[in-house]
Amino acid sequence: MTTSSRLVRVPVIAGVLVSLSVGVARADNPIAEGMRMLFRSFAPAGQAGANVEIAPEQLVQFLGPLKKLLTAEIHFFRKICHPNAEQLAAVRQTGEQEIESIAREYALLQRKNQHSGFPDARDLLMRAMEKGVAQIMPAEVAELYSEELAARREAHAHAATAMMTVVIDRAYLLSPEQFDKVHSAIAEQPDPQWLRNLQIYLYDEYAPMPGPNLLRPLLSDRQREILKSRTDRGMIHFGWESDLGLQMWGGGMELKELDEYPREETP
Amino acid sequence: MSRQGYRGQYAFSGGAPSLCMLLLGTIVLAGARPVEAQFAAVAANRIQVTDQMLEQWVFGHQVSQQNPMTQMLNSLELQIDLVAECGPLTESQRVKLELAGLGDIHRFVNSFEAFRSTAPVGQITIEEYNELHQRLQPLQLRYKAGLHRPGSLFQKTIRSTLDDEQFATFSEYVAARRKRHYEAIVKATIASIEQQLPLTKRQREKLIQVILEKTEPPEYYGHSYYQYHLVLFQASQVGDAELRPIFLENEWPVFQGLLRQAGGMRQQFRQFQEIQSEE
Repeated sequence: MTTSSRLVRVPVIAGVLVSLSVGVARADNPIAEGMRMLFRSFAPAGQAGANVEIAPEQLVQFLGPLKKLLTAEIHFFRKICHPNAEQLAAVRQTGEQEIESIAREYALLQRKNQHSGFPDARDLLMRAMEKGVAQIMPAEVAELYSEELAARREAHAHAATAMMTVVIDRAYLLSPEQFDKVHSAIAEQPDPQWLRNLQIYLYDEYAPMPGPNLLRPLLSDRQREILKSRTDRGMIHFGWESDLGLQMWGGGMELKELDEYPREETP
Repeated sequence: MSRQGYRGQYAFSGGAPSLCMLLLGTIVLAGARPVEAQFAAVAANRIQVTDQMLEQWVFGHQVSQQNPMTQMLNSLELQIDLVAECGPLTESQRVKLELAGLGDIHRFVNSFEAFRSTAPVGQITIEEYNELHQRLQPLQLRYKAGLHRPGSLFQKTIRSTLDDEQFATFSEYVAARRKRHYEAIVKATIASIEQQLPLTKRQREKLIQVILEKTEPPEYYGHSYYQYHLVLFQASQVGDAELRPIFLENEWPVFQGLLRQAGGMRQQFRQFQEIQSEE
């Protein structure tokens, strides 16, 4: 199955096997992730047993941004792991396969006129590359790479939950003690949707909020009254491309310099 | 005039979201920038503007079932609660703060009413709409910045009403809150940049440290949309000598491009500060 063929066929069973074989299961919630993987694999097909055909041109709109994502992740890999040319090519190939798989999945969702619920491409790519690096690089290097990936995820999650707390503080004027408690409560059990796109915290009115059950016990009576009157307007969805985080800085950050990495590196 | 009196005095429409609100929501949800393009898409030549839309533009997309006056009064009560966190207030102190806060609300509502009385409603042209938007922007920003922000009657009254010890505690309190917000926004800015330029743990920690140490938390961010840009604008004032060593050789031009972009927003941020310090 290659993108060079006129039509790409995606048998459902092969989809399941690919999903399982790339090992994207999340250690923290294997059941939910397992369900998600099944959904990823079966949902696009629509009817059981049907093959899904995707023309390569349908993948192009997704592959462009996803390649930028891969460029950033390859840069990160190189910075941490200092691979030789062979190792770099192998990890790059892993990444390219993953973004093709993601692009195919996005195309299928788009075909179903689905505008939200696209899987988190960055998370999928990071996990696929982490697995690839573990197979390709020496153990101590792979471990360092995993640690750095974990630190990035943690910093991102912290940033999102802290911004959410700031938005709540603006609405309810929390005391310092409340601020810390609210942030701890949010950070303890964050919804992955809260973490995906940091741009949503630039719109206080539409930023995601924790459920009232989490907030209510931490607020004063007056704050609770305001919480009670609040209308839930849902959260912003900027779309899959914005969720990749590549649009926020517009023309100021094209990463051309990073694209200039040679495809093969001198050992 | 009592707070209850204020609650009844002004006729704000409040209540259910209008079609316009839904439209605005849809556009915002779609990730578009403010209003001009939205309306252009709706009607090529004429735009329907209602009294309720004027309120919504100035007082923000409503996230509350309460009308704007109730929201403003609740906000004042929360502000007074926050002051009281620094030490119990006497009845006299509380009354003075309430009156000052009501004064800020009264002044803003008067400005809004003055605007509303001359704002065109009904079917208006794109040109009239653009002019209207220009006129309402300062009101939007002032409301968004908070009616009891630094420079307000409320803040001035805090200084003259609290005793020295209470005021010192309150000042520390406000500074700590501003710092907490700034730290969160700086970290979110860096995390956002990292989606295109991933950093190592050491790079990240150093960059955050330099920005926090070399810049001051702003009192006001202008439109919340620009919070991350303001952080980068502040970083652009730090100087290359502090920042450049954090990055690899091929990373620095990328980050430098961002700083240049943010540095170009000086006029915009200055305008926010001017609007904030008006009155």
